Amino acid sequence: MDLEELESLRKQAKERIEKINNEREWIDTKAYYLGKKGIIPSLLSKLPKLTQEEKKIYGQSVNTLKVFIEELLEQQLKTIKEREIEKKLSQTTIDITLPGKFEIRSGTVHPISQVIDEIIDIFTGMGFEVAEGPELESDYYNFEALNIPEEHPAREMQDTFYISDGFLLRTHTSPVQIRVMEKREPPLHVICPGKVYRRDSDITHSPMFHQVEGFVVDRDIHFGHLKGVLTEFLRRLYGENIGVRFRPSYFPFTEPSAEVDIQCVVCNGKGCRVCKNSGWLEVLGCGMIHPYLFSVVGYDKEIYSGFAFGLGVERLTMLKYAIDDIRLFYENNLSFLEQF
Amino acid sequence: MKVLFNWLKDFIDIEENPSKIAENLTMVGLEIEQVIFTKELFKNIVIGKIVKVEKHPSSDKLKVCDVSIGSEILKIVCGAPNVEEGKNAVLALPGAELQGNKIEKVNIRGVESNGMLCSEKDLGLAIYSEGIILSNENLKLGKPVYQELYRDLDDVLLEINITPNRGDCLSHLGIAREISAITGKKLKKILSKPPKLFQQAKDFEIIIEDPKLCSRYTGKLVRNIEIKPSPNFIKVRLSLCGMRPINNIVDITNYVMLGYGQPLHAFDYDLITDKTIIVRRARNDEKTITLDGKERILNDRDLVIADPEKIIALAGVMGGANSEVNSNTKNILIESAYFDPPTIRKTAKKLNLGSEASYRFERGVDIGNVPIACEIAGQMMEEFANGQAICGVYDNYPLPYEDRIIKFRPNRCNGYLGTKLTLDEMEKRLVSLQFEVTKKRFEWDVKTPTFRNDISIEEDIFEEIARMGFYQEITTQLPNIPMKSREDISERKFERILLDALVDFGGNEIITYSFVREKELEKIRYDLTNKENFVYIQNPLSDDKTLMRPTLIASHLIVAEANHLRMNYDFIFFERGKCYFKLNDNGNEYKERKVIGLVFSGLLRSKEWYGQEEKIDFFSVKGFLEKLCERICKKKTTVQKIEQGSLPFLHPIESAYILLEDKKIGFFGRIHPDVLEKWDFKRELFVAEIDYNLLRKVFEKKENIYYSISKFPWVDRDITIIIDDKVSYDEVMKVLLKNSGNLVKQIKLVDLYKGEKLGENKKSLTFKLLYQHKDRTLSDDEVNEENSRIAKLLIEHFKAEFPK
Ligand SMILES: [Zn+2]
Repeated sequence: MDLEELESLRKQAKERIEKINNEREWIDTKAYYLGKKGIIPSLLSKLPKLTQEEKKIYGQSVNTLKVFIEELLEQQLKTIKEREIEKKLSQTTIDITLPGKFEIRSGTVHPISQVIDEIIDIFTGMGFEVAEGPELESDYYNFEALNIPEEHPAREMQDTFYISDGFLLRTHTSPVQIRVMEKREPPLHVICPGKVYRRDSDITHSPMFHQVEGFVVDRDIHFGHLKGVLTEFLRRLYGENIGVRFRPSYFPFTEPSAEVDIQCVVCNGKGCRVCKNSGWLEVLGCGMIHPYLFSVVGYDKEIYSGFAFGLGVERLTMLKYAIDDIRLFYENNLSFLEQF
Repeated sequence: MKVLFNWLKDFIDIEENPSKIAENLTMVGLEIEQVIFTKELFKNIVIGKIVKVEKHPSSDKLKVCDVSIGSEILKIVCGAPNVEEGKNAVLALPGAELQGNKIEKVNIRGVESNGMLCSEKDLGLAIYSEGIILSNENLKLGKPVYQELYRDLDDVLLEINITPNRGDCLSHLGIAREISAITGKKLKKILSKPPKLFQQAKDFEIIIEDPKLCSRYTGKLVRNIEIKPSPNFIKVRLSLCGMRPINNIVDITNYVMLGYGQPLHAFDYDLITDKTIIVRRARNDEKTITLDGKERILNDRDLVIADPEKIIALAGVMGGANSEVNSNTKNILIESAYFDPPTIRKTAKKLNLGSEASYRFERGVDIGNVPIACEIAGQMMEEFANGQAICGVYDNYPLPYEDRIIKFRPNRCNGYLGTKLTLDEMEKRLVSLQFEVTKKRFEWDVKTPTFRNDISIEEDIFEEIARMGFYQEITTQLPNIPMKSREDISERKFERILLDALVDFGGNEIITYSFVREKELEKIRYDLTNKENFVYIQNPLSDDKTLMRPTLIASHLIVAEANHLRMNYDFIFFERGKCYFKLNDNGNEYKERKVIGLVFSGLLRSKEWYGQEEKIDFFSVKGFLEKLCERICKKKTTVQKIEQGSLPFLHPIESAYILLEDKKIGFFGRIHPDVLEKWDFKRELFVAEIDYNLLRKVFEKKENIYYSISKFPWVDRDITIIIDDKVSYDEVMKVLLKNSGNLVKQIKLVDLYKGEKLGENKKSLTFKLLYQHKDRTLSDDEVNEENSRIAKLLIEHFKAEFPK
């Protein structure tokens, strides 16, 4: 018997089976090879005519061929079915790129609020608490108690809105310092965010703006603590590597006083238009609480000391988002608000 | 303040370059705002020689000149009367900038001019010039003007931000003192010997009526002066420092002020009646005419300089027209004095007459320097005005300066600053700042110099020591903050939950000014009849009457209108702000009420590919507020009709109060059509206002008690009734809730229908009721029975009917 014939049959079967495209063809092909009158049975029918030796070899070979064809058919059936599913699926299409339709309107928080919240989070994280005070404030709390008597030139630094004799719109959040100290005893670690008002209006000044005041009073508080807390705050706000510099300045309610500069966030300290080529940006004012304030609230300056700081939220926000006109914050244009 | 680097060198030798000095000054508290190389301001301005002058072909007044700048000859059109062949002149070439005017090539009546011949006025060196600058000196043509004719123009200008406590730094001398403290270089001697002081003068008399207001007044007479322009260096330095050169006498007083910090005044001696100067308070309603020609009405809080007949100056603020130096002036009386700072400030502020002089007096001048400045001015007038100064200075000093000695504890200083400075270092720094130190064991005596009137307590000395180290040796350290209960926790929590909810519901937060114009409140028909309840601003930014807002509505309509104008139509804006009220007539008790204001405009949902657009209406606003309160307080809200006219900006029908636990917490509704008319809105608008603290109170009471969840299935049944249209949903709901029994877990209105089929004034309501038992599965029969019981009950109660 011719084993070569079997080999050619094998090749032929592989070719034919792999070309099968649908179930109909598959059934026909299966019948062609394995059916009662198919090729494999017809090959097997020749067996009896062979010698014992030939039977063994030939029988084995046909059997191998049969198994081969069966497996091949099985494989091909799977492929056909997969192809059919794929085809079916591809006929029912959706455009997955269409806009989604889960309807939730999502709003925004005003950039100023966002920055205030960030500041509050940083300080409450350090153990500070939040206090508030009135915006309609008396001359006493806004000026007198803060060591700014009536004819003090420092009053010129803050042009004031008046509402009656002796009452005004607070020009800074510092009066909250006095109000809290009057009511409570040290140790105090407090921040006071809020609106303040000055008679001023241009692209960097708004008649209403936001400040965050903060102060600490305890035994043995020194200038190094002031530097520590504010450096830590600025690092948490602007990143670990921000350069911070303290330089002497003047506020009537602190002594010594300092302005705090950060390395310009626009040019990284190289000098640009925003920092007026200095490489530094002034971000807050601070100092050791002036002993006059302690005398006003009845603390003993030989026992307690403290520091205070105030920062302008608008300025920080403008730096953070590179906004060049403060009035944008109060125009509340939707296209502006939606960017934050 | 502006200081010139070369001028500083008159007072102290400086080895460091300007930028190093600028940096160091900043680090001791004199913040340098700008460093300007002044020659940059005079670029393209060069020396030229006028080689030929011809008539302009089409103008009688203009000349056409050939001007040589060495390398070439340029045609220049010039209108100056004094233009002259053969003279050197100052030529501004194209690209130069003169007092803000850019010079360009221009065609003047048919002749091209390649620049402009300059007068001193053009260069900012005179307030008036008769003609262009001409010079016979041998000058190098084409060289910049700052190298040839006006060498002082090549300088470095430092713009310094002087804090109000540092009056002593408002001069070149003052800045030089700070540089001396930083660099250790000694100051140069100002005068070879101190001036002779006289308590009596032969040629004039000075009477001080109130020594508290004027504790020192010195005078010096200079005879036979000649009024003329100042020498170039004075003109240039004054001009670069921002002062207009006028004439030699006035310029010298200004020069001494900028140089030494002492404002001076020069009187025309011959215009002083009886040669007697009286420093006194003005009388109430006394009038005088100041140098600027304006009449001023004074009172007894103003300090004046007078002669027996008339006021001749407002002390420290401005001179009088009647004693002004003029072209006929021959003899000068120089005034150098110390005036009480608050008095000067009050007068200057009241009359709105801030000047360089008052600025310095307000901050306190150096009382020790008063006669020296007087002497220097006298000497300069001899030199630059050909005058004869009468020897010495007349010094009326009724209230002599008392030394200020401050107790200083070096230990406390280190403790306060967080430093470890040695005693020697502290002493060295104080001495460099001209403090006199007497060392004792624990407590030193530190005597302040006369010019440092800002130093009065021990902590001031700490600052002096700290700033001389640029604050750099202070080690950074975090304080120990003890754990403690915080009072602010609950409010912070409420704030956050509120904000999250508002944003999650699609609100964009806005922040608007806390003040509104009265007319803006009128535009929303706000009732302002009881003026005494409102907080008016006495000095608003504009002329319009302005008050602290009693409602956010007006501010929010302004924002809505502006957004509509920018074609932003669809939004929900919210603000957490305050409303302000006056509680009594005296204006010493106020109330600030926190509210949440909202404004809704346009579409709730825009047209999408899968659905239709939906406009915001009364019920979407109501739903917003219901869900907001439910989310924050876990409580249902109710509504109540608003009495006619009590909130006149709201629509009479589509508006309501919103209640939580039967308490009004706010209102909402459509804007009244009459209000809409006054604005320019492009979409329908709804507003709402909710009281922050009332909401917060309910929030804080919030109790969330868990109830067990039934494991058994629920079933639902509908009830539809046809009912009189006047019966409200709320009424039906109340009856339903009252009678629905234990099995009903939820009732929901699922359909509302009105139509002809039902007949007039009828509506049909369909409720879906959800039944569930906590311990067992309900049978169909018992649910049906219960449902029809409830349905019948409704029919009976409201005389309603079932649908046919
Ligand atoms: Zn920069």
